Amino acid sequence: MAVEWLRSCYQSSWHFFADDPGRKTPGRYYFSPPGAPFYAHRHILASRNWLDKNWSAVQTLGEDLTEPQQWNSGGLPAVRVSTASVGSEACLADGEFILNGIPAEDLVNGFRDVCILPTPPRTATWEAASDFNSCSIQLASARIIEWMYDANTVSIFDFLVPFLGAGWTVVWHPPTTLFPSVTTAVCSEGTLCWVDGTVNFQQFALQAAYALIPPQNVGGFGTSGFWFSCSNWINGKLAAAGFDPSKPVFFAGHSYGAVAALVLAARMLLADNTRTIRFLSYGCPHVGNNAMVQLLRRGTGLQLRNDDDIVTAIPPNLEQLLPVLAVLINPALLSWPTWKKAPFGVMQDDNGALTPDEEPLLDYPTLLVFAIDVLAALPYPTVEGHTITEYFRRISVRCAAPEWPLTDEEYTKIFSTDLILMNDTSPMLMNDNTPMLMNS
Amino acid sequence: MPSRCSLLFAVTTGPTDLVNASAHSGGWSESHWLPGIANLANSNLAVLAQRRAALLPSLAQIIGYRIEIFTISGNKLLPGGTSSGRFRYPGTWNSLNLPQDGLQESGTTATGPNAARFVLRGMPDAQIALGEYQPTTGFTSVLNSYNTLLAGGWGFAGRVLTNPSVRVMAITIGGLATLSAIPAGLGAGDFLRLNRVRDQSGRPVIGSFEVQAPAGLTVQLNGYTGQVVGRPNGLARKDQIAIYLYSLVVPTRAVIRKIGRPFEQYRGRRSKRPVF
Repeated sequence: MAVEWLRSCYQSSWHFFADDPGRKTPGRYYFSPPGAPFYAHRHILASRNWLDKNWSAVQTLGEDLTEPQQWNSGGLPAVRVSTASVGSEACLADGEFILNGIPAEDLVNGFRDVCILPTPPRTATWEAASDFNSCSIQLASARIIEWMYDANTVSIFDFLVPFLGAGWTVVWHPPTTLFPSVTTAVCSEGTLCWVDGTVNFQQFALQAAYALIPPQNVGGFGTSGFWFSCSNWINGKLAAAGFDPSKPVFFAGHSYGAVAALVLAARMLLADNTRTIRFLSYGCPHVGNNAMVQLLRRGTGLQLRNDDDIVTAIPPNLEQLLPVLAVLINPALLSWPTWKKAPFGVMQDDNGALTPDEEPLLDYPTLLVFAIDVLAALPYPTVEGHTITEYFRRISVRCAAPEWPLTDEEYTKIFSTDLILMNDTSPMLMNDNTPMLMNS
Repeated sequence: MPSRCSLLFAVTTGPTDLVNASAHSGGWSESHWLPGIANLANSNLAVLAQRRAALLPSLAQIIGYRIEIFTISGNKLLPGGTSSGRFRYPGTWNSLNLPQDGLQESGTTATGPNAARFVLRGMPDAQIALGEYQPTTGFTSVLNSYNTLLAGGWGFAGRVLTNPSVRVMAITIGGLATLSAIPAGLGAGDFLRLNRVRDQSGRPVIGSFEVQAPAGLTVQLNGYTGQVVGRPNGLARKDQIAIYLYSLVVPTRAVIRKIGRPFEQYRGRRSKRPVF
């Protein structure tokens, strides 16, 4: 049952005990599923955010008035909880007694074990599997993409098939020399699509070449012609997987795969802006012109940018570019500031903490080296913060426990390493002799 | 134990020219007080919501409510529990300019000088013309209906302005205040609000301070900031909150008041959503 109206969820502490009002109990709000009924009676679970700032309030039972609030994604707990009522209205309205308190060690994900329902054979809804705000989904998608880089189809299917359940069809589409691998999951509700990134010099060189010109008009918005071609490739794989163009689509991608998926998302939103499109990207570079950014705003999503992942800040903006331009005096670089970053971005620090609307700062020496390499089509050294493995690590720090919609078992599975077995029968089209330029 | 009843509003703009504009969502809340312990059954909050929704454009609606119970202790509020739920009262008027377009209303009370000024946001733009509030007959009728309901038992929280004010003669650095007289009823633990008091440097001395038991014409202010008041100036008044019922609510003028992020429909910091 829903207990409060909140614009965003957070963690705080509450005073619950009538005979020990000073005792604080930590808790958090999470978003209730759509249509969940409200608890109709008076309770002490309300948020202090609603207190009128014109008047001073005195601490009573309810949320602590001074405890710092910590933002929370609002993901559902990883357990299914009984809908049966436990306790009394008076307990929620006027506080509980210490004698009836439940020790924290007897709680599982905040609930008594008797309240937790056994996990039934599941069919994940598209809504659940595409919940990009859930740190578990961020973690799982990063892992799936990491497996895709390794062509580790055993692990991909071992995780996705039981997680999604009956009604879903999971297909892995191998990469080509120019285009990344794609994993699709299709059901009657909608489609999920994961795309990995750059793995060879040809892909890198083409992206670098296209980045030296302004975003090309591809009909309704501007972006790289190479990324546009890649979005055609992804769209072809979705069509081959049998996706329904009228149903919702969720894209998750890393680097080159992220930006190509976003180009396809923008094309879908341009064609029909009533479509439900969600996206989750890791290390996505600047995507295109302003028109593309505006199109993407019609969807919903999250762009994760590690704070030392400079790929997410390129092509650079004018302020960062000017000193380099003054040194290199190459007019080709003038097109870079026309490239804009995708919306809904958050920067992720070393501990996985998120800062909205930020991107890494490109310092002058780094940008100078990068610009010279791009102009000369030279390999660029691996950016550690850009790797999907690093994204996974940082999210795992933030997401130390399973969160909706993953169960304990599924959560454990995405950390397991014993499943990393190469599927020898999978076609590997990557040229292993090609130098790895960007670890993405 | 008075109750603060809040209505939650949502608006989604609906541009037809999607090349030049995209839809935005927003939300805001409006609150009024009832003097007793309220709940959905014993209050006419649903009726209030219906009449308020009758003033909204069709792109806006009332989506929920909250009822908070408080105990008033001097100049402080003690939260005593909350209940909340969903409402679905859509607006009816066909026009909406910017949801920030608002109508300021003034609610006066028969029991004191207090007056509340609040803003009705999401005004149908046809009611604002030539830069001012120019209502149609129909809109005036539904607004009067809403205002009449407000004046029939609803109210607002305000400071008790009828408490007598006394001259502040001096305040020491330690917070020992000398007054021209001790305000009637002022005792230990009460709060004294300083109004228009300035220290020796001419800087304002602002705030409400808890007092210890008065002794003669002096009272000790707890938590005083240390500004020295050396000559008589300004006034002090016992600081109290009370609930005042509206006796008359009338529109004053068209104003602008920002709206916030929506309360539902999406999560996170997204500022736009597609039109469905």
